[in-house]
Amino acid sequence: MSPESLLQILVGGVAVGSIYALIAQGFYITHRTTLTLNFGQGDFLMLGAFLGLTLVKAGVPILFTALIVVAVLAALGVLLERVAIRPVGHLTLSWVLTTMGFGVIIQNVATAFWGKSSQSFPSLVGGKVVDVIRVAGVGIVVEELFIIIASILIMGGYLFLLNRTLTGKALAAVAFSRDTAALLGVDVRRMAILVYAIAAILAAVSGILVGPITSLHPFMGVKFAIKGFAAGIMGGFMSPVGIWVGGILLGIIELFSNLISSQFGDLYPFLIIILVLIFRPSGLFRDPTSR
Amino acid sequence: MSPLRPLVWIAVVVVLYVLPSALPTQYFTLLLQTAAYDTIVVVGLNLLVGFSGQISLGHAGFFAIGAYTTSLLTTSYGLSLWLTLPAAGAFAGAAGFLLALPAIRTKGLYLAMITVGFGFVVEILAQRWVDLTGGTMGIYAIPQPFGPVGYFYLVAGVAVALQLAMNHLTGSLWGKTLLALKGSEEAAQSVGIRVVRWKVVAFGVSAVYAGIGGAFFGHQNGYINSDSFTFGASLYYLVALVIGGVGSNYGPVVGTVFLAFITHFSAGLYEQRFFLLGGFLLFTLVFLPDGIVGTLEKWLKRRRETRLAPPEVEVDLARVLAAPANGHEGALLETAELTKHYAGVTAVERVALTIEPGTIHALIGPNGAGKTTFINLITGRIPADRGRVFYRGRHLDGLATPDRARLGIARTFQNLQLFPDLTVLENVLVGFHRHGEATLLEYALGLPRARRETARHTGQALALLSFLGISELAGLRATELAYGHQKLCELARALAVKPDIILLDEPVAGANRTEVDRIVQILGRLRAAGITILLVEHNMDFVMRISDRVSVLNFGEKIAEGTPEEVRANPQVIEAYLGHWGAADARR
Amino acid sequence: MSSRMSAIGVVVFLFPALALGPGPAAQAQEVKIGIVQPLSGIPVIVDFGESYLQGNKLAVKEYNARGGYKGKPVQLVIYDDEGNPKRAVEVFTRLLTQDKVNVVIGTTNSGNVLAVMHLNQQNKIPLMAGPSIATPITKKFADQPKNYVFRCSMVEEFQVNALLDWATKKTRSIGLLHSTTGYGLFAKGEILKGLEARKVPPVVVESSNPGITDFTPQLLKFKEKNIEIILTFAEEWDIQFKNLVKIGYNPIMAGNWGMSSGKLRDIVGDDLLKNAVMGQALDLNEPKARAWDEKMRKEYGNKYHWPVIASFGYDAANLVLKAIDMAGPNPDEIRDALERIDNFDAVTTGVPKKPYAKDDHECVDQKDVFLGIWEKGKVVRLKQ
Repeated sequence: MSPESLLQILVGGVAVGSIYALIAQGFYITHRTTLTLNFGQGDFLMLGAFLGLTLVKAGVPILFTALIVVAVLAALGVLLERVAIRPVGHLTLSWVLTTMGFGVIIQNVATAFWGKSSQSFPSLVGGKVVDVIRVAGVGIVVEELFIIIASILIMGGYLFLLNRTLTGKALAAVAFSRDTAALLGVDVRRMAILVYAIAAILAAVSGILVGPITSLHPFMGVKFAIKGFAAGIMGGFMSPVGIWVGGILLGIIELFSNLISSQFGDLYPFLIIILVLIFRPSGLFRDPTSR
Repeated sequence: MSPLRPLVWIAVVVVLYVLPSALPTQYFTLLLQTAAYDTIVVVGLNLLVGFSGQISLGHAGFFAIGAYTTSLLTTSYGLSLWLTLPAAGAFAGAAGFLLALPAIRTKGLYLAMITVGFGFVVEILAQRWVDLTGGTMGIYAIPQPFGPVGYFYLVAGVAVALQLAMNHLTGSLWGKTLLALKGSEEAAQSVGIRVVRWKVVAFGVSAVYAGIGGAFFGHQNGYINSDSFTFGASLYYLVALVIGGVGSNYGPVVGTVFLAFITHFSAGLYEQRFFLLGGFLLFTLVFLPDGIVGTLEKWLKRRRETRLAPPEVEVDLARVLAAPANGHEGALLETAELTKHYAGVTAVERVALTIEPGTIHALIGPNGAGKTTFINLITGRIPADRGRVFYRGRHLDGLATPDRARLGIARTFQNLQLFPDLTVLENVLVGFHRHGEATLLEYALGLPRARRETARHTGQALALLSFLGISELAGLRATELAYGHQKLCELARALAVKPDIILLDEPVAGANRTEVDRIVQILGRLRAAGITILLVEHNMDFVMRISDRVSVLNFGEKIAEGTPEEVRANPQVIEAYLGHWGAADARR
Repeated sequence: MSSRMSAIGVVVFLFPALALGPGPAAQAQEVKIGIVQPLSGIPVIVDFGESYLQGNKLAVKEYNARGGYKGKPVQLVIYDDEGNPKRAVEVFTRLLTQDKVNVVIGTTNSGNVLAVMHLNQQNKIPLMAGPSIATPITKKFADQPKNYVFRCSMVEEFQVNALLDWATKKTRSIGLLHSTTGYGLFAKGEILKGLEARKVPPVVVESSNPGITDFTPQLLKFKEKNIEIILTFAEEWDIQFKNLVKIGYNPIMAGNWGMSSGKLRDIVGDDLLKNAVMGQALDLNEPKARAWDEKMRKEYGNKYHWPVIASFGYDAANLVLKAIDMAGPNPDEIRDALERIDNFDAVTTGVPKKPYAKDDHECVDQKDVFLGIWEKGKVVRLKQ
């Protein structure tokens, strides 16, 4: 295999991995604060993509589309927190099932509106089906580039939020000890709503970015949720950098596994994750502030 | 055991016998068979999730292993069903053990991910390892014995038997032990329960159940392929369990039957089916978090009196506590250079302590002086950075908490770690753990040794509770007690270990004068029975009354030691407590 | 656990049985056709199922509009098998023993059909298989006095032969990309056999797994060996075509009829499909086909996007209805009638006037299968 081809695969891995990182980043913010996450995050992403698709095809300019989709999904995220998270608490793993159930409902709403088959999503820039940029003999689709950049920006945003802003400190405080944070005047309930809104917004943005380069259909969410979850687990849910690295790693492992053995290619990522967890039960990256 | 119970089971058997005739088409017989073996899987899953507090999002993997084992053994080797069914369970169980061993260190979400990964690995192997499994084309001509109705009787019969075994297990001390470690791993370890082992066993048992269920699936249609062992299948079992009621004995069967009913009913509505499923799931989890059966149980139990009449027991404490063989000369417990640092904070700094047998030794010091950390170092809950702990002359390096408890070191917790799902009596019963010898199988089958042991320990537990004055509360949920009584309950549990030494972490915190007097009495009697006590306390009055020897920690270092009077007058001690009691005491 | 609880448990357990009860007795003269298709799950598979069903439904609708059977409309009982053999067995058993239909049409996954066929054979109710393509389906019970399994669909062997005949004549630089699902593995077997028979071994063979998001590693392997024709039997064609653009590689992509779905064209556009060749049996350049195509468009609008699958579904239902007209509602006699049909007016280009015979339960033969290409938004016959 020529070095050029290897580089192409590497870049492809980073691109796919960035999608996983985006999903994992959606998990991160809610898990950090409430020790729960939205297992239907993939379905939120799917909904964001479909909504974006409908608006774009109706002629709404891309910027307005993004704003509308973000707003709708943020509202949905708040609803999710109210209906699927708050009543069940974080002690048992009930929220895994409630958020999944919510996701299933979203899937069915989507099939009711858009049917069950795959849809086409036009490129975000220009009219071509696939908009490719060539650098050093390696082709990269424009949306892939956007996604990579977006995931890095979000990681940076998290680092800034958590380390530099008061809200970020409040979020970390709630994660550390709910009751203490409440006693110190942090509105714990509002924090929970906030993080679920943020996660939903991330899903919206991811959906619009991912739509053009993936097979878009109402049941695509589960696959992304599992991969994003695996990425977060591998990197460790404790650090924004870890989450991002976990995603990129997973994408690269996935593509290179397919290169080595296209028949069992999807086996290796799972085996590797199991191995990682055996040696590092809380993921590759530890919490920088942990005891 | 209520005299009605056998009658109810007979009724169940009769109903099962009659069902196929009441629903005569082959289609319904098929559904009944499926409900029966799905129930087996979910009963096993219930053990894992509801009793040992773990999770599995990949149980379809064990189901698959069971199905393929029996299918391959019967088609390729012509072995009889009676051999391959248990073999299927055994293989699946082995897989469960193998998965659990490395996985058990992970928790919560991380454990969930391992199970997800496992499920996918099995599915992928089933699909691609075509030489072994036939892949998506599958395995054909799997024997279908006894005809449809006969097969249903077989599966249902096994399901009933396995449900009974599970009932025995969960209702017995074995089951209570699982619930204990689900409630508080720390406390479970402190009474000698090797939590890792128990979790692995629970995983293995639930895998065995899933494998047997899978085996029955294999013989149902004479054909299996890899399409039936998806992530969705794993979720299905979990959903059935949740809707039925996690942690309740009949939750699994109710949930399974309920889901089967919905699937049947909604088959024609192929557009809205999953809508219904998602909606039901959400509804149940939010409004009926204990599931159908769990909610019913709660509702019914509220009306029942749960106080036990205290039996007239002679409190021969020495006999109950089996006075420790104090053939050892010298200190019972000794620490040397014991040190523990945290990032930026020294919790314990080169502390050397000697505790003589049969004494009450107090450890005092201002808040944050490192007292609880010290206890945790002794029990092995945290590893020391430097130094050692010696017990009866031998060092405890590398010994895990449960093993230290089994040597005779018991403790109570500053922040109370009772087992919330158990009654007061059951909390204490679990404390007798290291004295139990009956095995899992004996508990599952309700064999005599298990029952005798439970009866004997129950008697002793009641004696302990009597001694502490709370025996009339024995039947109440531990969490329903008043704070003071909860502390006594925890003390009873620690005593059940029949320890040589018991470490009490703030035994009178939050207690009023009467309660303090009571504890003083109790500790005196314990000392008389030969038990050594190390206690950590803030209540100086109490400490002075009861202790033989006092050691003082400040900022992790031992700054004084001696009799209560000596320590009280020590200027360094007074200075350390400046602003607390020292100044007030000095003025007396 | 009190005995009260046990009693309640028993009642709850009994409840579904009491609620369901035995169903209403089937009316003597009413004709019921059972249909099973995957209507949920993997989108490409659902696409097959829904499209075939569209053809079924239109045929039945027209039949009922003409008066139905002896004045009564024919009923359809439709179930979703979710692409899952366990579910397929359940719904087939239900149709055959509970709903007591006169004939069954379906399903898409060949594995499912193979798993349920014996139920039809046992219950002596004919099965019109489709759009499943695995070759052995109609042969399994061929040696029995009465074979109850028919098919109105493409046959994989035929498509593969047509493709290989054409490809091996064009070049020796041939590669194979297949998925590891049942469909892909089955195709792989047939293709490797066929290539060997034609003495043109594949230069590169790659596989892909379900849920794949990026074919780049596999495609690069083909590119490095300058493969001219890639036989593609992996269902995610949209991703493959997009990836090809990304790596700047332009081979001929030759596959089975799966590439003729309108959805694919919607997603990747005419430009990317310039080099696509696929197995076909419906030539939309033919006037009869065009007229029917119009009818479907009017009935279903945008939901109709896969002509060849729907046309087979349409013909399948019409064959069944014709047999019912000829022989009445008795399933056994319907079976016999199917073999006798002699003046059938099919929409699918490749289906002859007498589709079946005692030893031929396929509605198309090898000679009726041809290759198609995308031209101006429609799939038409490739002129060779």
